[in-house]
Amino acid sequence: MRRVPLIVGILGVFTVILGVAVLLLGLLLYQTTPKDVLAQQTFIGRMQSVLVSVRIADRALNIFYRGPRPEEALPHYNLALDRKQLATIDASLPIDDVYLSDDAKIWADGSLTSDGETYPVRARVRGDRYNHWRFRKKSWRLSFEDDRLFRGIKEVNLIIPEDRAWFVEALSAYRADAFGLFHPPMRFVTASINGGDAMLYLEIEHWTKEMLEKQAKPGDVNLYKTGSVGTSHFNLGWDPIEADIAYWGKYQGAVAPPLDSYEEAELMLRFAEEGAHEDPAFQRKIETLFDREGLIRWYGLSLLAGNLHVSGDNLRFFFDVSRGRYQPIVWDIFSTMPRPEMLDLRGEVGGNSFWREVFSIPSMHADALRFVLAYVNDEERVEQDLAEAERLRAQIERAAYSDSVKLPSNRQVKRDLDQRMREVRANIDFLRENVPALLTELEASEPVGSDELRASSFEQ
Amino acid sequence: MRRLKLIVGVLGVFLALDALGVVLLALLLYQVTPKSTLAHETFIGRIPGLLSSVRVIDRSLNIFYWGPRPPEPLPLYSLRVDPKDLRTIEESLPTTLPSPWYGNVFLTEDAKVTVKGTFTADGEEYPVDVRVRGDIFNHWAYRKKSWRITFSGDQLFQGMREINLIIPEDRGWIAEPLNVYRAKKMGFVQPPVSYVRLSLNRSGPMVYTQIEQWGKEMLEKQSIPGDVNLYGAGGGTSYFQQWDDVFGDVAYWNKYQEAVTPPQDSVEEIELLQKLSQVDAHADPAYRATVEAFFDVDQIIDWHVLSLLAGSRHVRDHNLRFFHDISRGKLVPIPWDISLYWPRTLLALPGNPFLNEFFRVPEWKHEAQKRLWAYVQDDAKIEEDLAEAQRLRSQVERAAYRDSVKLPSNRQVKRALDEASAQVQANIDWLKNELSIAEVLSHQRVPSLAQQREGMLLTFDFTVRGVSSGRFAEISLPKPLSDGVARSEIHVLRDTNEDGKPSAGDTLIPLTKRATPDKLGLDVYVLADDERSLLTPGDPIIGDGEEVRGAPHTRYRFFLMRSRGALQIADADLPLNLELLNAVTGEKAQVIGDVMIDDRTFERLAEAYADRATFLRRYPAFRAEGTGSVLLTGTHTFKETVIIPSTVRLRIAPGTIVRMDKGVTLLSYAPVSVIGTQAQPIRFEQGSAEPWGSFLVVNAKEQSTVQWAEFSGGGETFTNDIYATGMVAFHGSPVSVRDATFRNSHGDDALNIKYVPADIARAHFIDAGADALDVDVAKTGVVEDSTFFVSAENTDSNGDGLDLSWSSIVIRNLTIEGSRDKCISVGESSKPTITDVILKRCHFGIASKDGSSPTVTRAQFIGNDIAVTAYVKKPIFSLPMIEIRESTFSGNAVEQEALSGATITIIR
Repeated sequence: MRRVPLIVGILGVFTVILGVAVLLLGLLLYQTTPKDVLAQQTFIGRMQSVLVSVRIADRALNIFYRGPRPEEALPHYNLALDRKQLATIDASLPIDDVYLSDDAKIWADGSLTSDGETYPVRARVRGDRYNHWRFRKKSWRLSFEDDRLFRGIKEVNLIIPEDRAWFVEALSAYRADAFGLFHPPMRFVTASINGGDAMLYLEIEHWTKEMLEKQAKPGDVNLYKTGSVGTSHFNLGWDPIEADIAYWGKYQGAVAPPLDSYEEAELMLRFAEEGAHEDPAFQRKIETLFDREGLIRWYGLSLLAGNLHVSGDNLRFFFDVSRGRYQPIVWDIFSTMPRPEMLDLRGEVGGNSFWREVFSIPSMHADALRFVLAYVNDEERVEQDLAEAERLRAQIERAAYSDSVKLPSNRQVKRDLDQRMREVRANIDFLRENVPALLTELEASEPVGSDELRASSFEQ
Repeated sequence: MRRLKLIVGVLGVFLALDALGVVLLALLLYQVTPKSTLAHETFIGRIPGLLSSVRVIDRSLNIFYWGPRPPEPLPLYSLRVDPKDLRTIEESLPTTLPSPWYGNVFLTEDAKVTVKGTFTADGEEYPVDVRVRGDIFNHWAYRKKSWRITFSGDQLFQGMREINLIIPEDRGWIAEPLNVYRAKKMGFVQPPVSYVRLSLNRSGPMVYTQIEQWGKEMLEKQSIPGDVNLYGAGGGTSYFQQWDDVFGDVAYWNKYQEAVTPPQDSVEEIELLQKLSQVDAHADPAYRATVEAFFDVDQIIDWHVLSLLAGSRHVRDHNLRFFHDISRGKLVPIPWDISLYWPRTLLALPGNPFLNEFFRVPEWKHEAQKRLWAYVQDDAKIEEDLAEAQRLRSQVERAAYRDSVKLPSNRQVKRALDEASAQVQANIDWLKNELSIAEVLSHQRVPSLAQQREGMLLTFDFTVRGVSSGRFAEISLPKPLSDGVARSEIHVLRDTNEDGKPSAGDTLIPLTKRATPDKLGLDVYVLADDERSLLTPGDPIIGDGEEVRGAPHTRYRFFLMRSRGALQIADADLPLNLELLNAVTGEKAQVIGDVMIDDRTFERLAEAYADRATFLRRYPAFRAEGTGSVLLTGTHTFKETVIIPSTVRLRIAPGTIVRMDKGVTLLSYAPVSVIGTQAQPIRFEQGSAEPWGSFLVVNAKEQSTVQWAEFSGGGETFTNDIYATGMVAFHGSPVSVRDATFRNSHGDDALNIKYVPADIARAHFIDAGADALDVDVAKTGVVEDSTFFVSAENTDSNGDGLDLSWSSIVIRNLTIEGSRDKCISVGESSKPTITDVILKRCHFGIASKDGSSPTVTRAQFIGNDIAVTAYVKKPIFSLPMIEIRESTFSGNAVEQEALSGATITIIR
């Protein structure tokens, strides 16, 4: 009789050990198997209820996240959009495709109310990749009537903030202002649609003549567009803009040139060709057609954010016919942890092919590194940056947690915010530690000092 | 007791959950792990009986597979071999890799043991030699093997000396016979293929694909000379690779049959094949002629078409079979082991170096596409193919299910047959879609002025991606050019030598006028429909394992040229309307991008950074001064735009007179010194009856100076992609202006400064055509002691005296009279301080617009239509305001007018 409880006890221990082993094995499998394989090639992906349950369990913890009170309330928009047209938009969105097709860019009519004023508006989803429109919370393009602009804005984008590394895009804009670089105006707002819950967005003014003119730039210029998707049957993702100029487009066209033509963009492409810097006249051409300091600071800005994202479809610039110069536009810099190869111009990552050629000029590269080094060694500047990062985070954190429509859970949001803060610091530290050696190497091999080079030209 | 039961019950539940967890984990592991890995690299494959048990279970379902009755029964052969001999064969078969370089267990020469046997068919007995055949283990490692049967002695079997009985799954069940059927339709020599059954030592009937072995008899039965070199390739020769590198060395090739005519048993025919297979061989000028001499090009093309119909690139080195037809002097391919695959892109390489090179010749690639298109569009042919596929399946299916010796289960056989049937249709559908794709990106380039003088009217660049070739089919021309074609003055050239410019090596393309004009009523010219207008996609981007990573961007250039006369294309007529077609289907090509490029824009960019010596050579009117400077002195007329590089500082001496011809501009990228004296001012004036362009300084860091200078008759300019609206303009270039006169300007501004502080004193503006002084984005600076006058008789003038945007400067001691619009216009967020100004006889005295907030003190508003106004002109800005103090108003029709909610404050 005494043996029975003993056996039962042993069985119980065995059962518990077995259960723990199964859980651990399951965790191991989860950790070692790519998530897309799990989702697409196993029964897990077909048990939607399992995935949904996991998400619900994660989101059940949302109430424990509050966030600090922001210094001031974010502007709020009430969007009233035609429900039938919204349903049409939903129905037109690709189910399986990663990219947004043109026939899914359908407009819905409505109005936007802010600060007691109401504006007629048209809205459509925006964003090439599915993260912008496949889920409940979407990124939007809003267009206002010509005679009823909203804060002087003709078109504006409301972008899910996680796509822009939460506060880091705004931090890059802050740095861009300090560097004298041009970027579209942006700010954080909340918006609710048809009485729904308030959603946090990064609002960025769209590429229009008005956007340029409001910032003392000429409006009648060629403002170039890269980043179309699926133009070719052979490239379902972003168009291979470096392969042919005919993939490029324009958000805005110049009026001064006799034709709607693309020689400015073509020349830019030629500057980006492998080996272009070997042309003896390359540097002179660059310094004629670009503001040298501006190029250096643009590159430096990207380095401060991990130098991952300024390429291909993220290249934005216009040709300023009043100066006869290209004007790069700071856009979608994003953020990443520093990687050793981010300083390697020839590497797979590390910017774009235009920078690869421009900064193959030793004096330009050295000046860029000096600029970055001076910046990260300026304690006051760094403190201001970090303070601004904290301020931006504080501006949005509570609104992000309160946003019940967003896809990530609050746990994921906090993890993301913490990660982005780490990235801001890590990139500064990385540059402090690694740029001096690279600069020393460059200075040892530099044939002409940069000051000498500048003195030979009277150009700005 | 009750508690014990409860505990046991709970334990039971947990155990059940554990068991469920284990089963789900196992299932998950099975789903995420490749099966071959599970079988070969885990203990699963080593559990005795586990895999065979799975197989037994699978095969236990065999009885449920029946298959349709075949149209006619398959022949049944009997083969008797001494069991001892069969054991000898079995024991000789390899069980391990012959070398670490091999991927499969391989039938090497020493394992090709031949034994004697008796073959019976149709009641006749034949003495035979028997051995296993097939390079790879699947042919002989299992119970059912592939056999080579040689009929020894004088007795041939149905005229065959040797036959191969091949396990049909190795030939894709219906795939090989279907390919043979297609190949014969195309006129290829094919070894006879059929399905048969074989009973070995009274075994149950096993179904086989019978293929006659390569030999003289096989050729002669198809009316081909038998005494020829019949070449084959295979494997297992070298320790270092499984498949013989037949394109690396001709010594790897075998001969199934030798020619008797040549003096030696030699392989120079194959050596020539090898030479024609080298990378870039197609670029050799003699390549095409050599190929055309040594091969029947049509046959090679059909050979590839055959493969493409089967989705196949299996024509690898080891599957190559050729014979040299000595009667025609041609090396003839024998399509072999093409197999059948799911469709893949037509951009993929054909499969062996010879064909890879062959189809780099654009016309041949295009011809293959055309034939493929014709084939898949021929409904009758497709019906025949599908019917044949169905017939073959019905022939073999029942026999396959009843073959109890075969390795795959009936379930697997049915799946393979279903897959093969689906692949036949899928490839046809796929090819129709693929060939309908002809993507083109189109550029029309306006030539530079220098090129235009040499007769170039326009350049067309077409970038083609495929799949099909494109064709530059038609061009619409405006009437003057159409007349030029009629007079043989206008031509289209193809840049055949690819040097980027019209040259002797280019090809003239005949133009024929189409009977009907286009929708705009323009004449349409059709280009000759041949290789001269063909746009064939080049090599795709190939990655590891010959995987296609990307489609090409292959560019072709054409020129529209003028051989004589002075015809030009007006900008208004651009872009020209072109017709680009899919050269295979005849439908419109997909023009996925379409741009114009104007080579005039940056034609003179190099002058912006030239050195001084180059500048002086071009413009002898200037002479060197000091280091890095040039001097202009005397009287000069410039008939073309002068561009002063950033390396050269210009000084103009007192008393210099510069006459500028129509539209001529002086553009400097370096600071300028234009300092005259009161007695000897410097003058810029019209050199013709038409306005000249601009005196423009751009992006010069250091200060320029303009003093005692007079400018008249200029307008505006668009040069080196810089647009200046001022007769005199300083963009991003600081300048000090003193004692200067600006008269009779024809552009938007007489003087325009941008992006620099204002530094203007004692300037005089007379009869400006539009605005006199335009100050943009000047954060600081002063405009003072200056006069602005538009005479009453000047009815053309229509602008402002002083126009500000984004500028917060000091304005004092100005007299502005007669401006047809505003005396002073303050716009775009400007915040100037205006004192001691006389504003007379303007339409508006002062206008504050668009977020501006000027402050005005001691102004005299005399005889204006509206003395002060404020309004929003551009809705992107906020409301403007203006504050006026200690000022007087007399004779103004309206004193103040505030619109759009703007604020005017007048403090008396």
